[in-house]
Amino acid sequence: MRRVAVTGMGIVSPLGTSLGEYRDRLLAGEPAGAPITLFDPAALSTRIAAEVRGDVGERVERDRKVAFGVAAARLAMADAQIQGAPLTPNGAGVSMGMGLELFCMDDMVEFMGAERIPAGRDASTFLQTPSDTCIHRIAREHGLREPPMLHVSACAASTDAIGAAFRQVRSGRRRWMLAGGADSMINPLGVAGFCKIDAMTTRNGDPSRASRPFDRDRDGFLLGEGAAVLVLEDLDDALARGARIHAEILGYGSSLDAHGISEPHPEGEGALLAMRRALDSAGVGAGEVTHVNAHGTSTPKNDPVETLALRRLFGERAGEVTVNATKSMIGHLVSASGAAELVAHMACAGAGWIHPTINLENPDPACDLDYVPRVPRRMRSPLALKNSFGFGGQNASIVVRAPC
Amino acid sequence: MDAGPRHHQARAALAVTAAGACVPRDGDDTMSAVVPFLRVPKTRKFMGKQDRMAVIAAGRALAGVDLPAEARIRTGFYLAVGFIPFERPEIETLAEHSAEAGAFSMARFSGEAIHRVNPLLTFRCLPNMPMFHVSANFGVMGGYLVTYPGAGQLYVALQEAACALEAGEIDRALVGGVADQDNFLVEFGLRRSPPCDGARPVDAAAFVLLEREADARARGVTPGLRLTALDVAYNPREEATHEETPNAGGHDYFGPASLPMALTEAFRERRSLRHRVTTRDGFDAASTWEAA
Repeated sequence: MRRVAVTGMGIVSPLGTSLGEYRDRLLAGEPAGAPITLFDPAALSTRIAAEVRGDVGERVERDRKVAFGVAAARLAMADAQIQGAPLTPNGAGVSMGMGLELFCMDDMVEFMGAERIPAGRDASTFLQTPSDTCIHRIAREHGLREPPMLHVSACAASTDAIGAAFRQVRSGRRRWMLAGGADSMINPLGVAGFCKIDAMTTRNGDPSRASRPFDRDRDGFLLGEGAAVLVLEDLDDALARGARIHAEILGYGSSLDAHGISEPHPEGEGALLAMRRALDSAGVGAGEVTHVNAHGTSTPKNDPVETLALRRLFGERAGEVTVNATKSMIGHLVSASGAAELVAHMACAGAGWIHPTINLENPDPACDLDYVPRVPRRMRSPLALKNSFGFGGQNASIVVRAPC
Repeated sequence: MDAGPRHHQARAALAVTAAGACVPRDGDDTMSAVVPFLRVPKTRKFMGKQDRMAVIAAGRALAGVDLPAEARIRTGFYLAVGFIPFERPEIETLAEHSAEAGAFSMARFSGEAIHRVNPLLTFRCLPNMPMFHVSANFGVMGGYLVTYPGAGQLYVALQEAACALEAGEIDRALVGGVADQDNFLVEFGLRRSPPCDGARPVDAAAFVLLEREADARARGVTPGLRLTALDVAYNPREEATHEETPNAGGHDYFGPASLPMALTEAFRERRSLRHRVTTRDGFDAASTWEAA
């Protein structure tokens, strides 16, 4: 088996589009929640989100997620400094977790009266952007000739995408991979859909304190948007070309809850299974892990169950393991969340730090671990777990060593 | 395509030991047909048509399969789902109550339209929901890959299933495709991925149970088909917008369910199968299965 290095990272986030800015703002505990500006949320019950600000480059698509994904891939390639290195695109591919393709309400109202879409209007007029276009755009731009992988496992999608890419490089089926995720559901239909199922925070008057994982007063997630892409590379290749190595991915595991459509297994069975599979894949015992970057959504259901699963995994050591939640600052990037949070962890760990969980003011008695509240902490050891749990019971975990 | 499909190097013989499909023709009632497969019948209200088709197909595939609880934990799930099928009545309701002078009004949408649609709509069209319903009703808890939206991606999922089996990460893989194509919104998705000339998009779901042949035979199970070649190649195109997928059904176009449908037929008839898809979004994939 090959060892798998992270040699490039690209981020498009509500806290910036450069690794340094992203890391610094995370370590400063800066919240990204604010009133929605991308459209008028009018009477929707949630009117706040964590938006990506500024220009992320090419916007040939109506939907932001494809532009985010393409931009993050470009940033990751630049960070890896692959161009000019003796690393050809042969044996390389792309693996991305992507959000839903939603229809555009403006078009919908215009076209619903017609029996058929008028001639000259195609699906991309009607749909905001077909989700699969992102992987093909990235493959074309970087000349990646291996079959691209698209993951649609909801909030676990980009962790699955990175995990699948890791397995391909580790098994020797690929020399290197671009892997991550992109999403933006900050549009009328996306926000309304989450409002309908009461999944999001309604703390509209206090957006900077709305995302509060593991806090007693949490009331749902803060919707975010963005993309994150990694360059995963055979470690020997990376060393041979003198690449900077951000981290090493050691293992990946996934599982299905087989339980509830909108609620996790009450004993955290699926989450525990995914974490154990990731550790087995890494050849690492739970006793060696000192930090977890949690899924930590700030929803009433997720946080205590994730806590329980971690307690079951670590046993008596659970209180010694630090757990943080990136969503407390950037919100929930849905299909891109796992990748953006893994980049958050690796960027901060590279500087020797664990970023804080902000807004944890009144701990929930059911959430009784060390969540690194308010201020950053020094990393104690490089081994960490990253969790992502999807709506519908998909669970994915990655074991990472950062810094190497 | 300037490069042919790349061969998947098999380390262990893999075989199909069960298969099942659901092709609801006009008049078929998936609402009733799904009930025998549901652990909790009232969960039917959360299910869209693609969810029901997937559960029926998986139920038919797994009928008679001895799959104890400990085996389900080590059964992986690999699925390709077709274009997102929002139901037309729900879209019409949204559009009608969001319009003001012929244009979209956010005030009407947020204040009126969204209150007129069932919140369960959110659950009925998501591409990961067929996987949820199958896993919940049949207790499948292994690793997974759920992808979208065409026959090329199904091959990618199959390749990952084969690798996971060969690596011993799972003991069985439920591999399938589902596509609700008789749908207003899907019609527009298919405009960029039209089936080959003369083929008609058909609703379909199919699953096969794939496992290491030696393990199956050790349990006294005679496999139906053996995977002898699996090749998936890709050549990124300038215009990745159209797809052409021939399938075993001739004039029926099953989208991502193309290969599992053909496999189900071959499994039933105990005959060998050579299947190939060439898609306009750049996939060139083929597989060969011999009667075991």
